[in-house]
Amino acid sequence: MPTGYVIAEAIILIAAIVAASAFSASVFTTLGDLGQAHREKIERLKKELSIDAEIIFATSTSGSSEVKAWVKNTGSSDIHPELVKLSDVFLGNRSMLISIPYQGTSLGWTYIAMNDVDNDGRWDPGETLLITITLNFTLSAGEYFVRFVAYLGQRSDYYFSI
Amino acid sequence: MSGFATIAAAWLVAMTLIPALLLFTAAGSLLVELQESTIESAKIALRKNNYKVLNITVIQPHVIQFYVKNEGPYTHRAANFRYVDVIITYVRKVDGVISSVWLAYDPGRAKPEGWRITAVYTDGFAGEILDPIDLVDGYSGVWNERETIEVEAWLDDLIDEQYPVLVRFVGAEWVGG
Repeated sequence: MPTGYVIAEAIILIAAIVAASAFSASVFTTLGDLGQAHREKIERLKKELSIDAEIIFATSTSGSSEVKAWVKNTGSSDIHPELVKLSDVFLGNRSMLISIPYQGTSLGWTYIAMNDVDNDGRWDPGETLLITITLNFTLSAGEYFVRFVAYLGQRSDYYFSI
Repeated sequence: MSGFATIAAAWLVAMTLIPALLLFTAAGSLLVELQESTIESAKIALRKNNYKVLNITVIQPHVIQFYVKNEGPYTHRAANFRYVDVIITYVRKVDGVISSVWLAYDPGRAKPEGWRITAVYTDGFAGEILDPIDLVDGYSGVWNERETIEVEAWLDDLIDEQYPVLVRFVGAEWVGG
């Protein structure tokens, strides 16, 4: 084999190895990033699937400025009290929808645990919270709904009339 | 093709195939993991049981009695009665105001308001054949499908017996065990 061919093939081989190394390094990096992103997404989805809550009863009376709603943890994860405070509570009817802030001064909601069975202060699956909504106006007769949205977006609506 | 070129081509192919294989394997295992989570959530959502509240009567001015039939398809551990919600809606005798109160499970009747089981019936027969509930302890035994529990609930307020009393009973099938 002539010497020229050997040199040419050696150059091509080196170039091929360099190209392949660069290619594989970039692919492996991207693959790692992709895997990490997928893992994070899966973890978030798993968390979202394990969080759920349902309003089991809500009531008020005509002329009252207070609404009570009992909300049960129907998911498979317990919820830290700080995360319960991040929930969104709404009260509405056909003509209005009010976002109720947590512990608002004139308009707000607070909660107490009805049955903290293991006394750990967390909202465990099966346990129920009593949510008390205090309004800055009185309710008149009609149909209303309470909406509870857990901190990861799972929501539950309950319709009642007074 | 010379030896060098063959090696270089093989190297390039390997560097393309290996990441692709790794990607598919990783994606597959992640999908399986997600599927397992979804199935677990679906199982929890489908775990909802059916209960029928029957014969609500005011037996004393502040005590009511009612029956709840487990219509299945799941059994209910007595230990999980602590997670059950019993909400009574009634008219207060003192001022005529409609009130709703959540009651805690209290087999020893130690709290000012609560509920307990006083008897269990199986298809109309007193008692249980399977997994009897200890009515004194209140935390052992199983409430099986087709069994009816007799519940006594006591309130702080006096109930106006001229108006109906409503009972909301929510089971604890979300709790494992």
